[in-house]
Amino acid sequence: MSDSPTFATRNGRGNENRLIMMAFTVSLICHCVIFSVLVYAQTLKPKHRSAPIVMNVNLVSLPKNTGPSRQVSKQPISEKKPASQPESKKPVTVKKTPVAKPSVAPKAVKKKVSLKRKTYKSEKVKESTLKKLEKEIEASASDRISKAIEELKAKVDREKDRELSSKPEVQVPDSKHSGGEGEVSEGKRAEIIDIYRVEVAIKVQQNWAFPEQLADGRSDLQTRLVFKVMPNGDIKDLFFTDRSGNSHFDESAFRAVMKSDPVDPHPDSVSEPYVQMGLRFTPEGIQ
Amino acid sequence: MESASYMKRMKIFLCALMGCLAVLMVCQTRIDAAEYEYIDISNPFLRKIPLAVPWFKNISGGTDVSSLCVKLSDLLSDTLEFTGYFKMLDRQAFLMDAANPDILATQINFRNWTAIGAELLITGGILEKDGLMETELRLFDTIKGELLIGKRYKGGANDTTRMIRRFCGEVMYHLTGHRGVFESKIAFLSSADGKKEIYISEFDGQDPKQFSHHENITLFPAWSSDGKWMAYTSYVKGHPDLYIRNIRENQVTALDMQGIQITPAWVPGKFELAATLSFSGDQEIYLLTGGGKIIKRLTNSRGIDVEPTWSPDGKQMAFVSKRSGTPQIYIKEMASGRVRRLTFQGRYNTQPDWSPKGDKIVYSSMDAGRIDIHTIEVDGGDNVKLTENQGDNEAPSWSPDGSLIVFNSTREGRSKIYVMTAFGTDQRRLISMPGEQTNPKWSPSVISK
Repeated sequence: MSDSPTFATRNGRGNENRLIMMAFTVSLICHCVIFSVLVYAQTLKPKHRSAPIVMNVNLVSLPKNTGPSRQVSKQPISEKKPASQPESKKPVTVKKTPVAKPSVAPKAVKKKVSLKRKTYKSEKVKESTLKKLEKEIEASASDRISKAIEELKAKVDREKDRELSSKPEVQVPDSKHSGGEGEVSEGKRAEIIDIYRVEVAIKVQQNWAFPEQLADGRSDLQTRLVFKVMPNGDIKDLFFTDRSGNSHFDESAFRAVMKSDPVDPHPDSVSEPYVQMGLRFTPEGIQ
Repeated sequence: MESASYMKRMKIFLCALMGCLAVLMVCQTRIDAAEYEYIDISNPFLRKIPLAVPWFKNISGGTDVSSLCVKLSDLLSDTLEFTGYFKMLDRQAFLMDAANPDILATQINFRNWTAIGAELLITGGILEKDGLMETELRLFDTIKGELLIGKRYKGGANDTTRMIRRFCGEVMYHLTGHRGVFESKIAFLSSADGKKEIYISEFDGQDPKQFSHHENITLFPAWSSDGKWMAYTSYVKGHPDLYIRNIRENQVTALDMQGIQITPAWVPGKFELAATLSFSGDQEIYLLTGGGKIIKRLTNSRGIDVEPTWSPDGKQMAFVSKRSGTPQIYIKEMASGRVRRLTFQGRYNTQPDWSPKGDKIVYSSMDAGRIDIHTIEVDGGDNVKLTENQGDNEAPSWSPDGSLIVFNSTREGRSKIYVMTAFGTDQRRLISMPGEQTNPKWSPSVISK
């Protein structure tokens, strides 16, 4: 009787040992697998990330004043001409090729009575259709242009009216009977000055030349410049309020402002003796 | 007693005064700082400095000198444009009398130069006297109307190119604090005559001359840091042997060892070099004397270790190793012997070259069958791909000022030598020769003549 429990316990211990051994072996195999994966396949992990690529861009400055919107409205008409060339019936005079106008094409198709006739008097048909098309184009173009001009005129008139209605309030801010409207015009004037400031900043930016090599790989450089813009656009009292420590960078910012002198004159609605400008130059855009 | 109390009162009064002043100053600076609203400008419109170089003035008169004036002004313009720092302005736009240019600060109307966008102006004058050429060159800041550099060089008619290059060096020194690449040369391999030999050209690819004459395959040219020695591998005896040759005196030392001897790299400032030798059975990097004697073994690992390149201070060495299964770049610190892996992107990163500025390593990396050039910071950050979709681009080498990288590319068919800025911009072909050109190595700035 006394033997059986001891046997049982022995048997139990044996089972325990076997279990421990099994767990140990499984864990050992798992470790081996994981370590071998880590050692032999460590190059696999960062494959998804790709290095940024350098793009070489040559910037070309556009002519300063691209003109009023009237010129812009003309452009689509002239641009459409070459696009319609392949659709037209191989005209001899390329310049006179009709504009691809959806309403024009069906008309030309309607005229085709028979194939024979068309081939027989093809030149005459061509000439006549071309003439008609030209007339239509001219009419439509002049219509569009005149419409655009009218729209612009109306727009300008509206703006003038608005300015006229707001101007006296700017000039006579103490007028008693329209205090609320005076505040609005004041805000608008501030807005115009802000827009003007941005315009000046854009001009300075366009004159800013700085080779990335001179930044020595630093993107934390910062230079602050302050100046006054006189009503005629002259730049006065230019000075640094903060320097970067990189003299090339500071100089380039200084030169950009000097090259921009004079900027455009103040807008008509601005009556300040000068507009105060502050510019903060950083090379962040280079990287 | 009275005087003591008076002194005490005075002290209190002075302290109060100082305190008030301090408070006022703090307030003032706060007001100053808050007074202005700043608009941010973070992107320069032009990434180069606009520079005007009008034709030089013929001071002495005579047709010979006037043609030289045109030639030298063009040379100066091309030399500075090569650096990638400048945008040369079109001479057609200059508001000046081309026949009689003003070259002195007192004569120049700087508004005419700022009007066309020039920030810098270089004027020159040439005087011929008793067979000697005298060249006056001046660099002006057009915005401030100041003379920045003024130099006068005298020499024979053959020295004019050196005069121009020296002045270009002065301009670069003024701008960057480094004299540029104008005194350097480029060694490269060319298979122009069916064999592969080392050629050496000027920094701008001009005037290539054959350097090695083994009539066999020659590989891995490496300049010593004083520019006096060149190490390379040649198959002249049927197997890759290392040769160390004095450039001026034509004195050659060959290594007498078994196995391959490849990819030499000179230790900066020393007459020592690292190279891969395989006499032990495995390709490992060893440190050798300039005379070809082994000093010590530098790497010890399973898998090949090749292509060493040294940091400018000589305290660290980058190299390529296959210890992780694929060729990757590792950096070894010489003092501690510690080795760390640098590249983790891609499965094939080779041909490292440590920047003379010390901050970056340029290397070639193969991805999807295409080889392109990358730069990576020494700490492993900021990996940038400099070439893309333009054939295979390999074997990058830094210019001595760290502003340019020369490499070979198959973008136009056969492999040719190209150059680009350290940022990958302004990529252009450097050398026009028949055959294939590979493995360019830019020399240090000082080259013995």
